[in-house]
Amino acid sequence: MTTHRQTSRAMPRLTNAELGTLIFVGSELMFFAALISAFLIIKAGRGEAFVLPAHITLPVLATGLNTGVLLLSGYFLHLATLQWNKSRRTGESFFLAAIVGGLIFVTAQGYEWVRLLSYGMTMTSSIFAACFFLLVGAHALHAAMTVLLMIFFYLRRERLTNLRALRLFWFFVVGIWPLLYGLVYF
Amino acid sequence: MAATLRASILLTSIWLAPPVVACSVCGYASEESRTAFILTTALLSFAPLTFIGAVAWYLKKKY
Repeated sequence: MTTHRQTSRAMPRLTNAELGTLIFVGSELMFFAALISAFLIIKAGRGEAFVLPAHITLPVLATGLNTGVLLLSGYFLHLATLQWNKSRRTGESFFLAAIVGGLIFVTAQGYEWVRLLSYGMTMTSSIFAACFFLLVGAHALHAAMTVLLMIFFYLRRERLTNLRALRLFWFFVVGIWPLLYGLVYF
Repeated sequence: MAATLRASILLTSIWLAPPVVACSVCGYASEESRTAFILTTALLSFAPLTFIGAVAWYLKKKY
């Protein structure tokens, strides 16, 4: 009985960090669900008027490639957590690759925003532009903050339990992006 | 006495208040809007349930 208790304590089903992250992900999921709902209702109500400002097109292909980079980043972070306690060197390499992937995504998004703003597309240009910046911006903020956290974890050589919690959140950020991309860019 | 007064105020308020159409799609009364409203209601209703269910299923499968 004692042994069982000790084993249970040593290997909890979910660590506190993972449980906390899961609860946070649940709230974030509802936040994005609300944004997506608003987007869909406004889009349905506006019909033909729900378009980009004149002479502006969204970089669908470039963002598609960027989506691939983000997905790869999620995969690399997954590999990093698998290798973290087995081969720290390999784990760190995968972690670094995940960080680089995240940085590329955030930087490319930032560059896209700068270009769109320089063409005159702002929050007040049209209802579509407002929805675009709100949805994509909310996601970009999450991505940027998580990348910063990843860098912080990398520098601290964080332990595996915390890395797994970070992976949970990054999976959410990575997983919701293709949905937003499909909604906004097509 | 106080209860009667409160009830009178409540009934008067209800009687005097103009009807308000508080519908989130009233601004866009089209079929597409109605469909979008129903779909997003379903999304917001089922998203948390699916999330909790997925976590429970994952934990059950893993342990």
